[in-house]
Amino acid sequence: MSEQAQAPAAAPGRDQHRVTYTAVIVPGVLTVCAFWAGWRSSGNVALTLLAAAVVLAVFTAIIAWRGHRILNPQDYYGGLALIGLALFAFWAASDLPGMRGFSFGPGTAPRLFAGVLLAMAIAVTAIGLFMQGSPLEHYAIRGPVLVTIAILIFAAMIRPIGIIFASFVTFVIASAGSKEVRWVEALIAAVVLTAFCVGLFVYALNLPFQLWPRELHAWAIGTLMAGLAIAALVAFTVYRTRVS
Amino acid sequence: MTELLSNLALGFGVAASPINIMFCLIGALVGTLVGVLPGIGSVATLAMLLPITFGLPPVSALIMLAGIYYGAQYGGSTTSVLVNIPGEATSVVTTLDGHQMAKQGRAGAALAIAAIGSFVAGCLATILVAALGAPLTSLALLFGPAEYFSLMVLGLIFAVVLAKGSILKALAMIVAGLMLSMVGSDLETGVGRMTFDLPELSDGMGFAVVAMGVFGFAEIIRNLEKPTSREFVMSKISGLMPTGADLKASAPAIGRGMVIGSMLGILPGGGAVIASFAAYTFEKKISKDPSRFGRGAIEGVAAPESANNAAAQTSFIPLLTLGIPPNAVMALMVGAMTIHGIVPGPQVMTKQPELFWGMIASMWLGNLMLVVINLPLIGIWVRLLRVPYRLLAPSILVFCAIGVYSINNAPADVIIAGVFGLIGYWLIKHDFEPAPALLGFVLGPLMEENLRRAMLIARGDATVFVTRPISAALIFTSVFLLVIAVLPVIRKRREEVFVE
Repeated sequence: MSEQAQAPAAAPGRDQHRVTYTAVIVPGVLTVCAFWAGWRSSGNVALTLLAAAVVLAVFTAIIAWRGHRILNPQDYYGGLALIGLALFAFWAASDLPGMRGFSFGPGTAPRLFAGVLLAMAIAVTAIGLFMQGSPLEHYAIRGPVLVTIAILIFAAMIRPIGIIFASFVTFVIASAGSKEVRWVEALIAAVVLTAFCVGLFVYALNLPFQLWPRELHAWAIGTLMAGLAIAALVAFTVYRTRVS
Repeated sequence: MTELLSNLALGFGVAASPINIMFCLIGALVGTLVGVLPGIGSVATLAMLLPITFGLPPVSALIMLAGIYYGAQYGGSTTSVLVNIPGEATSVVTTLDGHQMAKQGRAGAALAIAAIGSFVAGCLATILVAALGAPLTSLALLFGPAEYFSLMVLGLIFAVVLAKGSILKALAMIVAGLMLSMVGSDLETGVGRMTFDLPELSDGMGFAVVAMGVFGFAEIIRNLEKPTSREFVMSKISGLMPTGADLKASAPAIGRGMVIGSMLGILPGGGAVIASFAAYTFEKKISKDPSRFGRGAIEGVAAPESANNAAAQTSFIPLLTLGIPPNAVMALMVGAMTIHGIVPGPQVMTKQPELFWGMIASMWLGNLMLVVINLPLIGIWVRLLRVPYRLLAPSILVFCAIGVYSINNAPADVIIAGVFGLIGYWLIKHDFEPAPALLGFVLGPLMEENLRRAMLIARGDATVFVTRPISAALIFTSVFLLVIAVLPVIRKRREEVFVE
């Protein structure tokens, strides 16, 4: 753990370089997206998006040309992401009619909020450029990826395959998301939790959940998923013991 | 006065029926249980436990949810004291002195003072809610759309000023939340907005779903990357009762915490988290010997714990009288009420008095129960903390997933929550506060509706917000707050408060 944290600090030059590249790439991608969206729409929205694309292109060029070091990457990328969100909302709401006389149309408020968000996002980005701040934090990979997979699998399994397989598989996959996972313990806990959930939600609270798979092929998929999940769990645990 | 008493009597009649007492007890117990678990706050707790109230009659469901809420808060302080892990954001400051007290072998006294302070503050807050309910409801009748809009602006500004970190980023988060709330059908025309013709989005994204993602899943992801280490102060819990000196020292602190908490709770955008911070800072400021704080000063436990409980209760006032949820927890309450077919607002009090007063009476009962049940059960809560996070995380995840799914029986909701989990993780990494975004998300549709109405009534004249007196006062207060918040002096002091 501590070695990981020290690694970037050991090579500061290279790290700074990497940050500068992404500092150009991120607004560059935004430019391309805004341009594409502006090209495909029409009317005022197209004009706005194209104008935004031009401004973003100029901005990207300045960053690339000056090789400006980003003083506060947290805010810089945060602001850029919000600019992207605001432009995206602008584009997504472009089909909605706006003001009719003095009464609001469905599109008025979304565009209003998108505009305010855009202004604030620009301010956040500017602060990120010019005011000293915190560096980017290290992103974990394993936890977010496995938790996301677990959630997606739950969503996919709960209807057709039922709560028993779904909560078991979800638990097993999610527990592989921790570096400290131990597979025997995790499997026992998965069985216990599944039983508890079934008891609480299905029997005690009478929520309308499918318990077991309805059809033969659902049984097969459920068993397969459970098997795969257990295999993944064992693999992660074995990998961890090998590494340490 | 007699009216107040008869109303309270009605409330206690409802709340003290055996069934409702049982639901209040279950709610308080389950709330404490989940509140004790680290990495899952009161919003996620409530969202997760929402399904267990579906089958109940409305009054019982709301009583139980309120019980869960107080229980979650109380459970949070237990872990703060014993293991230095705040189970809830509201008890972060309790760790400072509470855990020090535990290290000195005074864990029992700290926990007892927290419980007593919460109870005393809860009693006063209950009376306050009852007393302010009627006048505020009549005030609500003076409110037109313009006033409602301005009041919500004020609430959002409060949330910004009181949030920690950059004011600009908090503002950006609020607007992002407002914008996200626009997804779904338009209120007037029914047109799908920013839905990309996906039927899953046509009804908008549910608040509980988004909250579960940002506060539930994101917390799990973030906690998984931290190696676990916990200091246990176990063996030393001896003698629960605080000494006479303890009581004497904490009594005025409880009183001050109670007042600060009640005030901050009523304000939209305030709530329990900020109340505990403010009460702690205030205690430290007025103390003769501020250096005692952080080394086991009992006032440092008594004041914030009383304040957060008082605020937790008084934050029901804007919801029950004006129909405006002042914070994320209350927004979930709105969700729960809507599920049971209740529209929160001034009409609740007149049309369903037994619901309104029953809930208020149950607040008091819930507090009493927490004092009675929690002190004996501390041993169990501590044992629960022994469960390692590698097992806790997947369990919480499965519960959250089932909770989200059960709201609408929609697998798509689980996916949306998952996406918001990743977004929440990203927000944490970029030092954006998710709470203001959630408040914006809740108030978005209400704000838009009132803005549209106000503009329509005023025939497109935007000055209506500053020409109507109440609205103008509210807008002026918002601007004033925002201006003083960015003044350097205040900003520095604000940072001091949150650094602790």
